[in-house]
Amino acid sequence: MTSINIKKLLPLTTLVLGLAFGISAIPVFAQTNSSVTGMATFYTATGAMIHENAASIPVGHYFTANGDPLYYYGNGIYYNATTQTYGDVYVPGFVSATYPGSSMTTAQATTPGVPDTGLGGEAPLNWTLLALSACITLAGIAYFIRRQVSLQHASAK
Amino acid sequence: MKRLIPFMVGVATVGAAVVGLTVLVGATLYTPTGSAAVIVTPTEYPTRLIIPALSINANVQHVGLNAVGNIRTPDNFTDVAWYVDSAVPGRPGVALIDGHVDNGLGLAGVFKHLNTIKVGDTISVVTNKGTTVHFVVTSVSTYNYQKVPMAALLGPTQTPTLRLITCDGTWVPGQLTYNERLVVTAKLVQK
Repeated sequence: MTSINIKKLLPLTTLVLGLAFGISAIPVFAQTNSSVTGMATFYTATGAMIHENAASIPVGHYFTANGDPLYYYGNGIYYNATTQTYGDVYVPGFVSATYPGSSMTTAQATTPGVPDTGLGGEAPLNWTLLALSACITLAGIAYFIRRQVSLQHASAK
Repeated sequence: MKRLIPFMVGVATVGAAVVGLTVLVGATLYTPTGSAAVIVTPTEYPTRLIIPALSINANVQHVGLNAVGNIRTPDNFTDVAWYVDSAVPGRPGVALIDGHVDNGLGLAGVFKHLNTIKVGDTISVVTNKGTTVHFVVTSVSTYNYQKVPMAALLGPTQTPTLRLITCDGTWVPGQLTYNERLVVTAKLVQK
């Protein structure tokens, strides 16, 4: 019958548990932001509603529910003259849009969300974690070096 | 008990080392949420962004949208990133380039001092065709990060336009982002 040498397995177990502990303690750095998109329901001058998910909305002038005039470009993009902003509507089957007068194309007629371009607010936490982990690691290494030396002294005696 | 102490110390040592390395990598390399959509780079694209007033001469990466529909950012803090679904700089429309203001250790990113750029400063973009197009700054604006008018910023323009975007303002701990976005608008000039 094969016997298991626990003494030999101990360093391996230590390493595995240490790795598991470390990995489970890893903070999540990913950031999320909700996409900025504008959906609108169009109305005709007579107040008739044109459903925002209509299969096809003809190019032309429409109104918002508030009465703001807007122009629909026919590619999912509209321009609100009152707020001077562009928005988009969902158009089924629509796969590519070009803003008028622009070479910009989008995979879908949705407005991209703003990029997350900084992580600096995490700095205090990250520096604290780095300092703590460095201290613990160095203390651990020092402990094992000291233990090794005392074991050598003991065996020499 | 005598055997348990080295075991516990070993677990703590290895665990702390893993945590430390992970924090270091996570704070210096940017890892956005979700997988990137496949992006198709056109035959002409920007390769370098040069802003003499800020001593910036940065490599230009190409990015699309991330899993939640936000424009992706460069995967390091020294490069900038051109949104591939915006115009090629110098061509009709709006070319959008983003860059980091800092990293997770608080060290300066490529656009750390973008908020000091002034109207009238020059921005140059080198393309893979070897041409250099020049822009002059016409406006510098800040927006609440939840109210950035992206559709308008990417909308039609009379002249070829370059827009640079980065973080500004103060950190919002709950959202893990800054509360403002700085947008620099520059128009094409002939040199």
